[in-house]
Amino acid sequence: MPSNATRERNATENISTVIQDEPEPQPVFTATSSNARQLYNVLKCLNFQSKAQIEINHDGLIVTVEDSRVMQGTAFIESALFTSFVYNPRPTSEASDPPTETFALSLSILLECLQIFTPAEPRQFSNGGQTSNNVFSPAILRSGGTAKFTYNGPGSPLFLTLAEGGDVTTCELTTYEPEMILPIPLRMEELGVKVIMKAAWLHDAIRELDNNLTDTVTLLLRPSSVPSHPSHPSHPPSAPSAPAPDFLLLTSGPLGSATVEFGKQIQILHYTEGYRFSYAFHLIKNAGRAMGLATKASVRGDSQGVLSLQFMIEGDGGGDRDRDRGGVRGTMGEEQGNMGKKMETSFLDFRFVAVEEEE
Amino acid sequence: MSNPTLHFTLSPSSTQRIHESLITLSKFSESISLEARRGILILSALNSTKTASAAIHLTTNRFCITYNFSSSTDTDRFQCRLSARALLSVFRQRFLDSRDKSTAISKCEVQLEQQGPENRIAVRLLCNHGVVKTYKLTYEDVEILHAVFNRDTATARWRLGSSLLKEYMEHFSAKAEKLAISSAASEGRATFTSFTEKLVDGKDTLKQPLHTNVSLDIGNFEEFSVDDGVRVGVSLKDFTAVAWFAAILETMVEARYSVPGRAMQVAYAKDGLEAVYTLMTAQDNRISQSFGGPGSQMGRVVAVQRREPVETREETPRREMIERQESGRPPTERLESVKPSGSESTAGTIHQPTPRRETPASLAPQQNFSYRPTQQLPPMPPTPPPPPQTAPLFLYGEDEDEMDDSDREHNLFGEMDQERGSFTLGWDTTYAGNAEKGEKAVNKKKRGRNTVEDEDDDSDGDFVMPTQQPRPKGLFD
Repeated sequence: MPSNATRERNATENISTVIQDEPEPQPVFTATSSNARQLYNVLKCLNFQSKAQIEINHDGLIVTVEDSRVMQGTAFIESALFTSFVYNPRPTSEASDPPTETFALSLSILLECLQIFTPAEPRQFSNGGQTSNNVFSPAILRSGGTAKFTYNGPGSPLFLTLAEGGDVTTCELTTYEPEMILPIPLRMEELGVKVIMKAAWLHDAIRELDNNLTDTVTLLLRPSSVPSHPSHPSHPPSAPSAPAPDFLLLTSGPLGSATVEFGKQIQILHYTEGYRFSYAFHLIKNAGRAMGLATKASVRGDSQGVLSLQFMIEGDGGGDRDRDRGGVRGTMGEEQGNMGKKMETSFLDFRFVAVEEEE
Repeated sequence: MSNPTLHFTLSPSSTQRIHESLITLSKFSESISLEARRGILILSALNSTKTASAAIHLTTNRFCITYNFSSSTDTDRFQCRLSARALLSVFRQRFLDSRDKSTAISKCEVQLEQQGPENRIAVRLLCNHGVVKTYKLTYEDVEILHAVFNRDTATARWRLGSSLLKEYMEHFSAKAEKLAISSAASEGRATFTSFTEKLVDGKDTLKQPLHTNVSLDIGNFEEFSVDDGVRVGVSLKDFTAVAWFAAILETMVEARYSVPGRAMQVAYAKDGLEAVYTLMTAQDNRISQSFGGPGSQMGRVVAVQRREPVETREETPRREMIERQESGRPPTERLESVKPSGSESTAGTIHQPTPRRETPASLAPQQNFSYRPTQQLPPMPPTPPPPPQTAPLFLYGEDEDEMDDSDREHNLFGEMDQERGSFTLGWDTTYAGNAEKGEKAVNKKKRGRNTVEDEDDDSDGDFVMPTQQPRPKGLFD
């Protein structure tokens, strides 16, 4: 059994006593997060495959999930996201530089453990409606409880201690030997296209093309047709000389074709003429959750057809905050986010290998 | 021969309506037909067994922002068929799921592209954030089959608010196959029953034993003129789709039918959109559930052999009079249950043979209910003699034109009415291979007797009796 979670309720026992109870001479890795919700949100974006590989280094955690060897999703969780982050490298013979510790675990079970925390929406029925009025309830404060990770090196499980209010949950997650995951290389010196846009726009485009017409989506640049955009005359073409080409996403099948043409409001930072590559749509959809949650997206493609989609997820889960904006709870949540660490930003990077186009 | 050109623009709300229309049509068929004519756009679907047909008529000057259609030289319409799946991916639900309001669409343009070898229906969706989404759909050139329905013989008719209908429909199990609509007008009740027909034969007798009866006071209906004991069965799935769309439109649903084995027409309209469904009805074979005894009276409403839908507006006051006489119920009570004028007037427009375009949407409610003797009815357009019973159910568009050229009104809606309402539906009335009985049934009906099923019913004791008989008085008394 890969995990073992127990939940005990004891109002008087506080977190520190639990921590003292655990005999720990000097674990390889301990980290405490007071904002488990964001951790959950970020990791959830990678939940398209159950097995994840976690690399620990001095800067933070790198979580990698791969699909069919042609698609990888990576989350960079900086050490700043944790209230305490201690990594004691083991003295090993193959001393890598910088030192890292890598293991694999079941991501879906880790997510299930993190989910134990109070949901973001306060339950109406809990405590006879008292909690919904209590400003110190975790749901109002959006503190999301604390999560403590402990790892003792290869062979040892990952201990997870979750505390919220008076509830303490300890989980023990089996770790596995890491598989060899070769990163999909993006040739930065041979970029074919680099575009920055709102993640929601990319999300909208991908959902639009999710139409069962076919399972490939093509990214391409088309020479600009500036006069054909009368709907946005206020936005002058930024490039002084030749106008930047249009950035298109395209799917085509026997029933017809669908094209999403981004206007001039996205920033095409770099391009080479004739860029055109196709990708398996079901793999692109693996990044869908990240698109929905992130605020900004960067789309980069190199001359070999490797595509990188980078997403920036801000603070307490950008999506949540956007949704709550204007509401009382939303403003309180933002204040809370500002009172804590400034802009807890996480990054997700998805890499894709192009498919051969049948033409 | 010049190619037809078609180009129209839709507002976001119209685009949403198209989405809902397509959802409804896709319940009938996997392919959806599009027909463009001058001033009208028709989306339609016909199910694979040709027992149910749905058509959404869009009055282009109300529904579209712009509409340009010029026909080719040899025909006055453009007809094609598209995959429902492809259409639904174009006209998908777009408003509720967008986190960022800026990705909402601002306009939708549809164009027929007939250049070169590639013919496509091109749909361009312009979004608020400057993104343009273009779909090019392949289509199939077809002759569209339209269901024809003879309103003359459809003596049974009721009108019910869509929200009420939806409320009643919610009681039925999604697994049930059939819906029986029966009238016990003498007792002031109408009953909707969901059941599964198969369960009476074979081993699966008890697999779907649930019959759900929803019995309602006919006072809930805007209008109810169905002979006592008339009981028809339709596909529950079809009817659910019909009710679903009606509930979204928040309008008045009107059903017209006659006897089992002949078609039922359900129609409703709102804001330049009119939905017309022609559903084949079947006899409820399960069991005779008569609501009035053999000697019971006819329904309150005398079945009048109506000749033309123009009488619709006169129906309500006449019925009120009868009610006053028979039940002693004060007419005011009846009026109270009448829906507000908005929905009333839009529903009322369905049956006016005069151009609906010119009918003000705010048709005064008093006008609807003012009493006018039947004798003073405006002259009705002549009705073509009904073709023989063996006439085909579906006619090609061109054929329709030829059939009643002489007396056709030269306006669109007259055309539509004629098309939908002037011909006898061709299903054989000789239901279940018993021609004589079927014929007899019709005759009896005309003579004003009731409980056709009572005598006609071929229940011979093999059927499973429902465990609960419908209550003589309903829950809502």
